Amino acid sequence: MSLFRQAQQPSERSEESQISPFAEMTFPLRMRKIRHEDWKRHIKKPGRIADRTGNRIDYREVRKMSEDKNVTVLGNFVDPKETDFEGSLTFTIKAAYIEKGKLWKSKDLTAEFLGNFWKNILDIEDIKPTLHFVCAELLENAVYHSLKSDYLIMIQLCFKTDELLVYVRNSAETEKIEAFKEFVRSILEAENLQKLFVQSMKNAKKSGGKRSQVGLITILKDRGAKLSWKIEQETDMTLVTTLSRISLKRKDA
Amino acid sequence: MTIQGENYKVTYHDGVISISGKLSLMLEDYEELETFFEKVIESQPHELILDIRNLEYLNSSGIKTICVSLILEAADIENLQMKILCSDRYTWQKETVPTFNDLMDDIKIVFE
Repeated sequence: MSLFRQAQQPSERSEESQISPFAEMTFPLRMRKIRHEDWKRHIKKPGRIADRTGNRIDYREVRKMSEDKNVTVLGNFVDPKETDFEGSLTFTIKAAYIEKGKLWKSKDLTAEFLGNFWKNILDIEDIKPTLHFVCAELLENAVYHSLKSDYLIMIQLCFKTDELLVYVRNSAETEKIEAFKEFVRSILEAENLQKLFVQSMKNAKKSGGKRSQVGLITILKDRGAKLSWKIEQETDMTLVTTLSRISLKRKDA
Repeated sequence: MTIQGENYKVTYHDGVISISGKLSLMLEDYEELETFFEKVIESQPHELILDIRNLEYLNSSGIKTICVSLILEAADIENLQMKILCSDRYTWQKETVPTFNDLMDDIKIVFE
Protein backbone atom coordinates (compact mmCIF):
# COMPACT_ATOMS: atom_id res chain seq x y z
CA MET A 1 0.00 0.00 0.00
CA SER A 2 1.46 3.31 -1.04
CA LEU A 3 2.73 5.65 1.66
CA PHE A 4 1.23 8.58 -0.18
CA ARG A 5 -2.31 7.31 0.19
CA GLN A 6 -1.80 6.85 3.89
CA ALA A 7 -0.78 10.47 4.18
CA GLN A 8 -4.12 11.65 2.78
CA GLN A 9 -7.55 11.47 4.29
CA PRO A 10 -9.49 8.77 2.37
CA SER A 11 -12.27 11.19 1.45
CA GLU A 12 -9.73 13.52 -0.15
CA ARG A 13 -8.53 10.87 -2.49
CA SER A 14 -9.48 12.01 -5.93
CA GLU A 15 -11.90 10.12 -8.06
CA GLU A 16 -9.43 10.67 -10.87
CA SER A 17 -7.08 8.11 -9.39
CA GLN A 18 -9.75 5.49 -9.89
CA ILE A 19 -10.32 6.48 -13.49
CA SER A 20 -6.86 6.81 -14.89
CA PRO A 21 -3.37 5.68 -13.89
CA PHE A 22 -1.94 8.95 -15.16
CA ALA A 23 -3.87 10.89 -12.53
CA GLU A 24 -2.55 8.67 -9.70
CA MET A 25 0.99 9.69 -10.50
CA THR A 26 0.42 13.37 -9.81
CA PHE A 27 0.13 12.81 -6.06
CA PRO A 28 3.57 11.29 -5.38
CA LEU A 29 5.24 14.07 -7.34
CA ARG A 30 4.03 16.59 -4.82
CA MET A 31 5.00 14.77 -1.67
CA ARG A 32 8.47 14.14 -0.41
CA LYS A 33 9.28 10.49 0.08
CA ILE A 34 9.16 9.20 3.63
CA ARG A 35 10.29 5.75 4.61
CA HIS A 36 7.49 3.55 5.84
CA GLU A 37 9.29 2.75 9.12
CA ASP A 38 9.76 6.47 9.75
CA TRP A 39 6.11 7.13 9.07
CA LYS A 40 4.98 4.40 11.43
CA ARG A 41 7.23 5.79 14.14
CA HIS A 42 5.92 9.25 13.45
CA ILE A 43 2.33 8.21 13.92
CA LYS A 44 3.11 6.72 17.32
CA LYS A 45 5.35 9.53 18.50
CA PRO A 46 5.08 12.92 16.82
CA GLY A 47 8.38 14.65 16.45
CA ARG A 48 11.13 15.16 13.98
CA ILE A 49 11.67 12.36 11.50
CA ALA A 50 14.23 11.94 8.75
CA ASP A 51 13.65 11.04 5.12
CA ARG A 52 15.72 8.63 3.06
CA THR A 53 18.48 11.12 2.43
CA GLY A 54 18.71 11.93 6.11
CA ASN A 55 17.03 15.35 5.85
CA ARG A 56 14.93 16.07 8.83
CA ILE A 57 11.24 16.72 8.18
CA ASP A 58 9.12 18.41 10.74
CA TYR A 59 5.92 16.39 11.30
CA ARG A 60 3.91 19.60 11.07
CA GLU A 61 5.16 20.01 7.53
CA VAL A 62 4.08 16.46 6.72
CA ARG A 63 0.57 17.09 7.94
CA LYS A 64 0.45 20.35 6.03
CA MET A 65 1.32 18.49 2.83
CA SER A 66 -1.76 16.37 3.20
CA GLU A 67 -3.88 19.40 4.06
CA ASP A 68 -2.39 21.32 1.16
CA LYS A 69 -5.48 20.53 -0.79
CA ASN A 70 -7.73 23.42 0.09
CA VAL A 71 -11.38 22.38 -0.15
CA THR A 72 -14.29 24.83 -0.38
CA VAL A 73 -17.92 23.74 -0.43
CA LEU A 74 -20.57 26.18 -1.64
CA GLY A 75 -24.27 25.45 -1.36
CA ASN A 76 -25.86 22.15 -0.45
CA PHE A 77 -23.21 19.82 -1.85
CA VAL A 78 -23.27 16.07 -1.21
CA ASP A 79 -20.38 13.88 -2.21
CA PRO A 80 -21.42 11.08 -4.58
CA LYS A 81 -19.47 8.62 -2.46
CA GLU A 82 -21.55 9.52 0.57
CA THR A 83 -24.93 9.14 -1.11
CA ASP A 84 -27.07 6.06 -1.57
CA PHE A 85 -28.44 5.97 -5.06
CA GLU A 86 -30.36 3.49 -7.19
CA GLY A 87 -28.14 3.84 -10.22
CA SER A 88 -25.72 6.09 -12.00
CA LEU A 89 -24.19 6.81 -15.38
CA THR A 90 -20.76 8.38 -15.82
CA PHE A 91 -18.92 9.81 -18.79
CA THR A 92 -15.29 10.78 -18.45
CA ILE A 93 -13.28 12.67 -21.02
CA LYS A 94 -9.59 12.74 -20.40
CA ALA A 95 -7.26 13.88 -23.12
CA ALA A 96 -4.05 15.79 -23.48
CA TYR A 97 -5.55 17.58 -26.42
CA ILE A 98 -9.01 17.67 -27.95
CA GLU A 99 -10.01 20.12 -30.66
CA LYS A 100 -12.50 22.47 -29.02
CA GLY A 101 -15.05 22.39 -31.85
CA LYS A 102 -15.26 18.59 -31.73
CA LEU A 103 -15.55 18.63 -27.95
CA TRP A 104 -18.33 21.18 -28.22
CA LYS A 105 -20.33 19.02 -30.60
CA SER A 106 -19.79 15.96 -28.40
CA LYS A 107 -21.07 17.98 -25.48
CA ASP A 108 -24.36 18.60 -27.30
CA LEU A 109 -24.71 14.97 -28.26
CA THR A 110 -23.93 13.84 -24.71
CA ALA A 111 -26.38 16.25 -23.09
CA GLU A 112 -29.17 15.31 -25.45
CA PHE A 113 -28.43 11.62 -25.01
CA LEU A 114 -28.56 11.94 -21.21
CA GLY A 115 -31.88 13.77 -21.46
CA ASN A 116 -33.35 11.03 -23.65
CA PHE A 117 -31.84 8.19 -21.62
CA TRP A 118 -33.27 9.30 -18.31
CA LYS A 119 -36.61 10.31 -19.79
CA ASN A 120 -36.90 6.76 -21.03
CA ILE A 121 -35.80 5.12 -17.77
CA LEU A 122 -37.91 7.32 -15.51
CA ASP A 123 -40.86 7.68 -17.85
CA ILE A 124 -41.12 11.39 -17.09
CA GLU A 125 -41.56 13.44 -20.28
CA ASP A 126 -40.65 16.77 -18.68
CA ILE A 127 -37.28 15.59 -17.48
CA LYS A 128 -35.72 15.61 -20.94
CA PRO A 129 -35.60 19.36 -21.64
CA THR A 130 -34.50 20.16 -18.09
CA LEU A 131 -31.81 17.51 -18.04
CA HIS A 132 -30.62 18.39 -21.56
CA PHE A 133 -30.23 22.04 -20.62
CA VAL A 134 -28.59 21.41 -17.24
CA CYS A 135 -26.09 18.88 -18.65
CA ALA A 136 -25.30 21.06 -21.65
CA GLU A 137 -24.77 24.21 -19.59
CA LEU A 138 -22.61 22.50 -16.95
CA LEU A 139 -20.55 20.82 -19.66
CA GLU A 140 -20.18 24.14 -21.50
CA ASN A 141 -18.83 25.75 -18.34
CA ALA A 142 -16.50 22.78 -17.86
CA VAL A 143 -15.12 23.17 -21.39
CA TYR A 144 -14.67 26.94 -21.04
CA HIS A 145 -12.98 26.74 -17.66
CA SER A 146 -10.81 23.72 -18.28
CA LEU A 147 -7.09 24.25 -18.30
CA LYS A 148 -6.04 24.81 -21.87
CA SER A 149 -5.40 21.58 -23.76
CA ASP A 150 -5.85 19.44 -20.69
CA TYR A 151 -9.43 18.33 -20.55
CA LEU A 152 -10.41 16.17 -17.65
CA ILE A 153 -14.18 16.39 -17.61
CA MET A 154 -16.46 13.97 -15.88
CA ILE A 155 -20.22 13.99 -15.89
CA GLN A 156 -22.04 11.65 -13.54
CA LEU A 157 -25.77 11.27 -13.17
CA CYS A 158 -26.96 9.61 -9.98
CA PHE A 159 -30.52 8.56 -9.71
CA LYS A 160 -32.36 8.56 -6.40
CA THR A 161 -36.09 7.84 -6.23
CA ASP A 162 -37.02 11.49 -5.70
CA GLU A 163 -34.20 13.33 -7.46
CA LEU A 164 -31.47 13.25 -10.05
CA LEU A 165 -28.00 14.42 -9.09
CA VAL A 166 -25.89 15.72 -11.96
CA TYR A 167 -22.20 16.04 -11.13
CA VAL A 168 -19.81 17.71 -13.55
CA ARG A 169 -16.17 17.84 -12.67
CA ASN A 170 -13.39 19.71 -14.46
CA SER A 171 -9.96 21.20 -13.94
CA ALA A 172 -9.64 24.98 -13.73
CA GLU A 173 -6.97 27.65 -13.38
CA THR A 174 -6.21 28.32 -9.74
CA GLU A 175 -5.74 32.06 -10.40
CA LYS A 176 -9.29 32.49 -11.61
CA ILE A 177 -10.86 30.57 -8.77
CA GLU A 178 -11.38 33.39 -6.27
CA ALA A 179 -13.40 35.39 -8.82
CA PHE A 180 -15.42 32.27 -9.58
CA LYS A 181 -16.15 31.68 -5.88
CA GLU A 182 -17.31 35.31 -5.55
CA PHE A 183 -19.68 34.90 -8.46
CA VAL A 184 -21.07 31.61 -7.16
CA ARG A 185 -21.67 33.11 -3.72
CA SER A 186 -23.50 36.03 -5.30
CA ILE A 187 -25.93 33.79 -7.16
CA LEU A 188 -26.49 31.45 -4.21
CA GLU A 189 -27.19 34.40 -1.94
CA ALA A 190 -29.27 36.42 -4.43
CA GLU A 191 -32.67 37.32 -3.06
CA ASN A 192 -34.13 37.96 -6.48
CA LEU A 193 -32.77 35.90 -9.34
CA GLN A 194 -34.94 37.66 -11.93
CA LYS A 195 -33.40 40.99 -10.93
CA LEU A 196 -29.96 39.42 -11.14
CA PHE A 197 -30.76 38.12 -14.62
CA VAL A 198 -31.90 41.55 -15.86
CA GLN A 199 -28.86 43.24 -14.32
CA SER A 200 -26.53 40.65 -15.82
CA MET A 201 -28.02 41.22 -19.31
CA LYS A 202 -27.65 44.99 -18.94
CA ASN A 203 -24.04 44.56 -17.79
CA ALA A 204 -23.34 42.28 -20.73
CA LYS A 205 -24.69 44.95 -23.07
CA LYS A 206 -22.31 47.53 -21.59
CA SER A 207 -19.21 45.40 -21.43
CA GLY A 208 -19.81 43.12 -24.42
CA GLY A 209 -17.95 39.94 -25.29
CA LYS A 210 -17.47 38.27 -21.92
CA ARG A 211 -19.45 35.24 -20.90
CA SER A 212 -22.32 36.36 -18.74
CA GLN A 213 -22.81 33.16 -16.73
CA VAL A 214 -26.51 33.46 -17.52
CA GLY A 215 -26.51 29.66 -17.82
CA LEU A 216 -26.21 29.13 -14.06
CA ILE A 217 -28.76 31.86 -13.33
CA THR A 218 -31.21 30.27 -15.79
CA ILE A 219 -30.75 26.82 -14.24
CA LEU A 220 -31.66 28.19 -10.82
CA LYS A 221 -34.32 30.64 -11.90
CA ASP A 222 -36.20 28.81 -14.66
CA ARG A 223 -35.36 25.10 -14.59
CA GLY A 224 -36.09 24.67 -10.89
CA ALA A 225 -32.83 22.88 -10.18
CA LYS A 226 -30.51 23.49 -7.22
CA LEU A 227 -26.80 24.16 -7.60
CA SER A 228 -23.82 23.59 -5.33
CA TRP A 229 -20.04 23.26 -5.68
CA LYS A 230 -17.00 21.55 -4.25
CA ILE A 231 -13.73 23.30 -5.11
CA GLU A 232 -10.46 21.51 -4.40
CA GLN A 233 -7.48 23.84 -4.76
CA GLU A 234 -3.99 22.56 -5.28
CA THR A 235 -0.98 24.72 -6.08
CA ASP A 236 -0.86 24.06 -9.79
CA MET A 237 -4.53 23.59 -10.55
CA THR A 238 -8.01 23.40 -9.11
CA LEU A 239 -10.70 20.74 -9.43
CA VAL A 240 -14.23 22.04 -9.58
CA THR A 241 -17.22 19.74 -9.09
CA THR A 242 -20.61 21.28 -9.84
CA LEU A 243 -23.73 19.53 -8.59
CA SER A 244 -27.20 20.17 -9.92
CA ARG A 245 -30.08 18.53 -8.08
CA ILE A 246 -33.25 18.03 -10.08
CA SER A 247 -36.30 16.93 -8.18
CA LEU A 248 -38.43 14.26 -9.84
CA LYS A 249 -42.17 14.63 -9.80
CA ARG A 250 -43.83 11.49 -11.01
CA LYS A 251 -46.88 11.81 -13.29
CA ASP A 252 -48.91 9.56 -11.06
CA ALA A 253 -47.84 11.28 -7.84
CA MET B 1 -31.65 37.97 -45.04
CA THR B 2 -30.86 34.42 -43.97
CA ILE B 3 -28.38 32.53 -41.85
CA GLN B 4 -28.33 28.81 -42.48
CA GLY B 5 -26.50 26.86 -39.82
CA GLU B 6 -26.01 23.13 -39.38
CA ASN B 7 -28.99 22.68 -37.08
CA TYR B 8 -30.74 26.01 -37.28
CA LYS B 9 -32.03 28.72 -39.60
CA VAL B 10 -32.56 32.45 -39.07
CA THR B 11 -34.53 34.56 -41.52
CA TYR B 12 -35.78 38.14 -41.65
CA HIS B 13 -38.69 39.10 -43.81
CA ASP B 14 -41.34 41.78 -43.51
CA GLY B 15 -40.50 42.73 -39.96
CA VAL B 16 -40.38 39.11 -38.76
CA ILE B 17 -37.23 37.43 -37.49
CA SER B 18 -37.74 33.66 -37.54
CA ILE B 19 -35.41 31.32 -35.71
CA SER B 20 -35.93 27.59 -36.01
CA GLY B 21 -34.05 24.41 -35.12
CA LYS B 22 -31.56 24.10 -32.28
CA LEU B 23 -29.21 26.93 -31.36
CA SER B 24 -26.31 25.82 -29.21
CA LEU B 25 -23.18 27.63 -30.37
CA MET B 26 -20.04 28.77 -28.57
CA LEU B 27 -20.24 32.39 -27.50
CA GLU B 28 -17.83 33.59 -30.16
CA ASP B 29 -19.88 31.91 -32.89
CA TYR B 30 -22.90 34.06 -32.10
CA GLU B 31 -21.17 37.07 -33.65
CA GLU B 32 -22.87 36.39 -36.98
CA LEU B 33 -26.27 36.47 -35.30
CA GLU B 34 -25.37 39.66 -33.43
CA THR B 35 -24.51 41.36 -36.72
CA PHE B 36 -27.77 40.05 -38.20
CA PHE B 37 -29.78 41.62 -35.37
CA GLU B 38 -27.83 44.86 -35.76
CA LYS B 39 -28.76 45.07 -39.44
CA VAL B 40 -32.41 44.35 -38.68
CA ILE B 41 -32.57 47.17 -36.16
CA GLU B 42 -30.72 49.53 -38.50
CA SER B 43 -33.43 48.96 -41.10
CA GLN B 44 -35.74 50.88 -38.73
CA PRO B 45 -38.86 48.72 -38.63
CA HIS B 46 -41.90 50.06 -36.70
CA GLU B 47 -42.76 46.67 -35.34
CA LEU B 48 -40.45 43.78 -34.80
CA ILE B 49 -41.68 40.23 -34.36
CA LEU B 50 -39.41 37.45 -33.12
CA ASP B 51 -40.88 34.11 -34.12
CA ILE B 52 -39.32 31.28 -32.14
CA ARG B 53 -42.24 28.84 -32.34
CA ASN B 54 -39.96 26.33 -34.04
CA LEU B 55 -36.87 26.91 -31.90
CA GLU B 56 -36.50 23.62 -30.10
CA TYR B 57 -33.41 24.41 -28.05
CA LEU B 58 -31.49 27.53 -27.06
CA ASN B 59 -28.32 27.49 -24.95
CA SER B 60 -27.41 30.22 -22.46
CA SER B 61 -25.10 32.06 -24.87
CA GLY B 62 -28.05 32.16 -27.28
CA ILE B 63 -30.32 33.53 -24.56
CA LYS B 64 -27.71 36.19 -23.89
CA THR B 65 -27.40 37.09 -27.59
CA ILE B 66 -31.14 37.48 -28.05
CA CYS B 67 -31.56 39.47 -24.82
CA VAL B 68 -28.57 41.76 -25.30
CA SER B 69 -28.24 42.19 -29.08
CA LEU B 70 -31.91 42.19 -29.93
CA ILE B 71 -34.25 42.97 -27.05
CA LEU B 72 -32.12 45.46 -25.12
CA GLU B 73 -31.10 47.17 -28.37
CA ALA B 74 -34.73 47.39 -29.45
CA ALA B 75 -35.64 48.76 -26.02
CA ASP B 76 -33.39 51.74 -26.68
CA ILE B 77 -35.34 52.72 -29.78
CA GLU B 78 -38.37 54.91 -29.26
CA ASN B 79 -41.61 53.82 -30.86
CA LEU B 80 -40.32 50.38 -31.75
CA GLN B 81 -42.89 47.75 -30.75
CA MET B 82 -41.70 44.24 -30.16
CA LYS B 83 -43.56 40.94 -30.04
CA ILE B 84 -42.26 37.42 -29.40
CA LEU B 85 -44.22 34.45 -30.77
CA CYS B 86 -43.65 31.30 -28.73
CA SER B 87 -44.83 27.73 -28.62
CA ASP B 88 -46.08 25.93 -25.53
CA ARG B 89 -44.71 22.70 -27.02
CA TYR B 90 -41.32 23.70 -25.63
CA THR B 91 -40.83 23.72 -21.87
CA TRP B 92 -37.81 26.03 -22.09
CA GLN B 93 -39.93 28.68 -23.77
CA LYS B 94 -42.65 28.45 -21.11
CA GLU B 95 -40.03 28.74 -18.39
CA THR B 96 -37.64 31.34 -19.79
CA VAL B 97 -39.24 33.58 -22.41
CA PRO B 98 -41.78 35.25 -20.06
CA THR B 99 -38.82 36.47 -18.00
CA PHE B 100 -37.77 38.63 -20.96
CA ASN B 101 -40.67 40.90 -20.04
CA ASP B 102 -38.47 42.85 -17.68
CA LEU B 103 -35.97 43.73 -20.40
CA MET B 104 -38.25 45.99 -22.40
CA ASP B 105 -41.36 48.02 -21.66
CA ASP B 106 -44.50 46.94 -23.52
CA ILE B 107 -42.92 43.88 -25.06
CA LYS B 108 -45.63 41.36 -25.99
CA ILE B 109 -45.00 37.67 -25.45
CA VAL B 110 -47.58 35.45 -27.12
CA PHE B 111 -47.90 31.68 -26.72
CA GLU B 112 -49.75 29.31 -28.96
